[in-house]
Amino acid sequence: MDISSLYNINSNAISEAAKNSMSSQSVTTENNDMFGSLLNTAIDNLNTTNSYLSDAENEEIKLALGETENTHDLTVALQKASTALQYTVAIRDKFLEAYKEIMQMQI
Amino acid sequence: MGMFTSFDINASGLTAQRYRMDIISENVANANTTRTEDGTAYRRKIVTFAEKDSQTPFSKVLNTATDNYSGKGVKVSSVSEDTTTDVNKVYDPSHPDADEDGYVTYPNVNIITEMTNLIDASRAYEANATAFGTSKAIAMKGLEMAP
Repeated sequence: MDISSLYNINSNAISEAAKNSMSSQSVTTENNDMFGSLLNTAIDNLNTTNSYLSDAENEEIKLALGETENTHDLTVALQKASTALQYTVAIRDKFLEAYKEIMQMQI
Repeated sequence: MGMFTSFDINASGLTAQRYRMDIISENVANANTTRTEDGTAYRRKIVTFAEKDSQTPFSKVLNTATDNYSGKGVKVSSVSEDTTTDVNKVYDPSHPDADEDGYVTYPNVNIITEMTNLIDASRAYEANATAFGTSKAIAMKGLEMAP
């Protein structure tokens, strides 16, 4: 889960570093504008979170079938999935907040 | 340094300590075993750990060049037999495994040593679990910063 790209533009150093990290990423930015890249990163985060969640589900099935080797495997997978999900939810909330803010703008 | 690196490192520590407990259990269970598959008495087994290095040679060079340290945790490097500690010889001519002089060779397992190691492994497991919990608490604190 790479959330480093959600950068703070006020600081020169951070925007420079964010630019570098963006260029090394595999995210395809067809329309090279801010919003598009932001959305792509968010979708990338979603996919990563989803894979963590399915990992946790696999561990649950393994425990239920008695195939798990370690008692902590399930806990580790669940905690990872939970942390990733909470971060993704936080990003979604911020995203919606920003969208609403724009929609409520007085013309 | 990824987001879940510390999670993975602590998970490897937990797995390693559990494996160590398995081997200690085997030592305790076989503390009185006078006959193994090759006919000799059981020998105490020792677990050795090594730093896990699952990096490819290329990424290793790259990480060194970019000064990017990436630990990967711990792994069990080997399970070896303890051949330095002497075996216990007990005089018991009626025992089926006694030699011609009437001595039975018992394993070189010291129950007190094994129990001490077991407590050590248990505490190390707890330490890894606590570090895991702290990593998660820090991740959650980072989220709390901007409400």
